[in-house]
Amino acid sequence: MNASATPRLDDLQTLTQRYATYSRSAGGLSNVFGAVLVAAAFSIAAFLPLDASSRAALALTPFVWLLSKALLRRFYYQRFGGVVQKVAPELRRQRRWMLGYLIAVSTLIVCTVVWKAGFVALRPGMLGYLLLVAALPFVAWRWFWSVSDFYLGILLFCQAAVVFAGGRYSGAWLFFVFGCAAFAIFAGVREHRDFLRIRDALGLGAGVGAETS
Amino acid sequence: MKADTQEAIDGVLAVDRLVHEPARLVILTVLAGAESAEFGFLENVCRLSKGNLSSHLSKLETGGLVLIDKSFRGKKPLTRIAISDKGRNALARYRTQLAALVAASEP
Repeated sequence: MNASATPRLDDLQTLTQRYATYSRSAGGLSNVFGAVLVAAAFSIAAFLPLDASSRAALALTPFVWLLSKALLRRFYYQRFGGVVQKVAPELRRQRRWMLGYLIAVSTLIVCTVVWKAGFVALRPGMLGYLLLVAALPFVAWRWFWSVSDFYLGILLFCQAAVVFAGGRYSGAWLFFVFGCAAFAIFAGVREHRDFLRIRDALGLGAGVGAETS
Repeated sequence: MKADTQEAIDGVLAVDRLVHEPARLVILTVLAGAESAEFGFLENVCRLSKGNLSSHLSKLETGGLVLIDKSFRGKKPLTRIAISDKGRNALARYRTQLAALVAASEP
């Protein structure tokens, strides 16, 4: 053990911390995939005629994205062994604010719709809409950790809920949606490149077993 | 024996031997960067064989420095290891002692 050991140990701890972010707050390529899904879903809904099957497909997009996140995490970003991220106080605080906002908006929407229409008078499409809106805070609590997760998830869930209810977002939303998608792609690519650097720095490149026990 | 020499010897002897062993030091350092880590990750990063890693983890667990949770993912066994508060404090104390010893030995 020599004097240079301490900084090297600091590096090892930092690299582990950064690797662990891919268990929660860093999405990497799942951000890119989510951004493509958001852009595609809003474009299709705005410009193409929607029948029952295309509406069902669009309503499924948030779940496809969540599944892709879980698969990428399990079989790509954490394939050298799972490491759970320690939640820093700033991240916990940021998440609490975003969840609080989602719970407030979701409750407001559900109460307003039920109060205006009356629960028994709701069509099945509207029930699906309410279900998706009500589920959003729970989904966010379980799966959303980063800012990208929140806005991609909210956009996909809102889009799915509106399409389910028989409506659609107009083309006017595309400017905003494409801006969000571009930001998510930028963040995702940056995270992915950072992951490749972490992997190499930890010596987890080709040839290292992915077996966990 | 001079007082400062005696002090230096006392400093070296005061180092926690459970943490001082290089493999265990690396294990604790890796664990300090996360909430928990799977056995496979420690094996890959620490470059230890399964048996060797297992033996070091048992010693750390006996010393109360790590917490080990064994379960199954499907049919495969899954071992998750987390550093305890005691382990975190022991690591911090060890690093402070080491830095002080290195500083004292410099001319």
